[in-house]
Amino acid sequence: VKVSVHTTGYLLGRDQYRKNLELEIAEGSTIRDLLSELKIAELAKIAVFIDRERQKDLDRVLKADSTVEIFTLVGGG
Amino acid sequence: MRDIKEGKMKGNWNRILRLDLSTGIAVEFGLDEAVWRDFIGGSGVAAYIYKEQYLRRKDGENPLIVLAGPLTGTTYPGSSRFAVCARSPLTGIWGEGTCGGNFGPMLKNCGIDGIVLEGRAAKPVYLFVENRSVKVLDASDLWGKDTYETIDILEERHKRARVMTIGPAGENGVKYANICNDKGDFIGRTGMGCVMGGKNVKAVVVLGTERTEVADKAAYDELRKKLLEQIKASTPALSLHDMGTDASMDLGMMTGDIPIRGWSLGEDFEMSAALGGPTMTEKFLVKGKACLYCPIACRRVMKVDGGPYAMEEGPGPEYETCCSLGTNLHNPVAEATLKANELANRFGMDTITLGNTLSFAIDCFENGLLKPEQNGGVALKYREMDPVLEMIGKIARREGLGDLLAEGSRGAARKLGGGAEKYAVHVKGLELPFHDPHGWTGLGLAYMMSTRGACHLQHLVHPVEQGMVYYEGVGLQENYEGQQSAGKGAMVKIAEDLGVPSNAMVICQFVAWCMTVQDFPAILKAVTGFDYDIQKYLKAGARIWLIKRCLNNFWGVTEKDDTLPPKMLAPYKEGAAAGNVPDVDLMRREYYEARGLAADGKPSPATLDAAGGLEDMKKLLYG
Repeated sequence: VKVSVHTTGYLLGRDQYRKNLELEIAEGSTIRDLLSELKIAELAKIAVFIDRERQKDLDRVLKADSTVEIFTLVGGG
Repeated sequence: MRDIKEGKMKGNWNRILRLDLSTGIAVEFGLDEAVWRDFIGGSGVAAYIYKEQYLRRKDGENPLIVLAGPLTGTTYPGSSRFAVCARSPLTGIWGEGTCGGNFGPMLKNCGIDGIVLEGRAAKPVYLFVENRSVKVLDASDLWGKDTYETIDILEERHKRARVMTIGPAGENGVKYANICNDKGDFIGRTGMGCVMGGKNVKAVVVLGTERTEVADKAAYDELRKKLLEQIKASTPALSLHDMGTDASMDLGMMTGDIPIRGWSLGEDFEMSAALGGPTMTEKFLVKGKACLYCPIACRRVMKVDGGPYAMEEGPGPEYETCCSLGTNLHNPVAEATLKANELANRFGMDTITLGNTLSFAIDCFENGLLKPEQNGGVALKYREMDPVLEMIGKIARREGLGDLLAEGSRGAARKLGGGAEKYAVHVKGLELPFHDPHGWTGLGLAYMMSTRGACHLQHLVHPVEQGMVYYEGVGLQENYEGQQSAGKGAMVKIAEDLGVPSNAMVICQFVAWCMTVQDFPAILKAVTGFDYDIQKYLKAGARIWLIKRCLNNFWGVTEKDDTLPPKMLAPYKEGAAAGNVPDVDLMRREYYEARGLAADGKPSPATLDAAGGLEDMKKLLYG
């Protein structure tokens, strides 16, 4: 299935603050699988949204044509 | 000189300069070393000085207390800060602000910890502090000049010196006037620039050659090296370095953290696209800028080339200002926000209170409480920045409607009447910073309970509640549900007790996000030589919170003031926090229990006994 993935905050390397990807993933893949494939699974301080809804359950299965947004947690002062 | 207590403490000089502006007489004084141990420095020791020397004075003296912390003047990251404190003209309660830059370290290089200004000069003056001597100099040529011009003139006149100054807003008694140093750093909140202007002091110039000593150099070096590594490994710090404090706006829009259109809209992605860190960086950034010895370097130097909002190279807006003069005014034109920020900086006004007061005025125009004829036929409106830019100058000059808005939103609402108070977004007279309690209820509780009115910086609630940081072993959780109210009382109390001493040190909030729990007492011990551990550190946090609370109770604060403004109790229809409002009563109950406050909002006698060092406050409140 196809999903759109947007990352913000150097999750895919120091030279990529923001990255937009169109990915083909295996049917039944979860958020955790996606994070693992993108090699950002080890980072605890992230926030994941699917179609703009915050996800706490990383075992949720990704549906076709979903938009997944992944952020480094950061605040402003 | 008199009353100097010599001892073995390091970090602090234990020398504070007191200048009576009415007579021009200056003296140095010191404190028992136990005061520095128990109240640490910065606003903590300032509150002690206020309590000890000014609270009972019959002449109404409201001193301006400029005070560094034990780490100021060292090379520890984030330690270039200092505090300025007084009773706030905006709120009527304890007022304080801290800022970074280069003034704080140079103040400590003078061989003093700070300066207490009493009385009022007969004519405009500025102070030139060179090592431990002070000269009171004529400022008639500076009066009326903006903050940037004043800093340029004084840094040219006094080579290698550092300057803090007020702008025209401070001269004209704007209740939320700030104090500027290094052009881009401000003692922003609670109107300390108004107090300074009221004393006829335009600026303080410092030039020193001393060096702050630390008690245990080996331990200090090791802790500094460790922190530098932690900062290097921190993705939030990296984001702040590259995208500035505004790095968080895109995420905030997803979590219900961003206030929009006078706190009335739950989301608007047009706003974060126009005003978020990446866009601002791409369009306007010239270079980043750091406070002394800080590797995070979150400051922005920006420029707008041409057009109606052209801005020469200078300080760009922080996150708070991107909201206050951007999203809050529903303004999608980033160039206009940069211009508004520049005007506020030059006039010397707190952008958080300014933005909230402007949206208050817009609401009043929309609801018929203000009429265009009160402003030369022009109504202030959301999304229309030109009249807003003009109003910023009018406020600084207290001209026309600007005279009313110079009072801040609570003061203006009281004068206007007619129900205007419901549009004023403040706690105890201090307008809310731009993180939204609809999305993050614990921060709402922190606003309710902060000792200077709505504040997001005296504590560590913001990073803890949002999960950016986990401080292990002090009773905090790793994750909190932002929109849940239950359980937030204990969290806020702990995050205050961790953050309040850090604020007194005076350490930058962003650096504190990179520290571990054990780093806080360890660095204090290495610098001062006092035998801090985490329990003593947390107890100092509680003690400092309590002394300020007692001052506020003495000035009339009760449990009725520990609440959120009406707009926070009206749910949004859209966005991540749609339908949610903080449960104010539940959170207040939980917090009172955790903090040991009685039902009337005063610390209970048992709480004051347990805090240690506050026996006289018990007498003050209970007789």
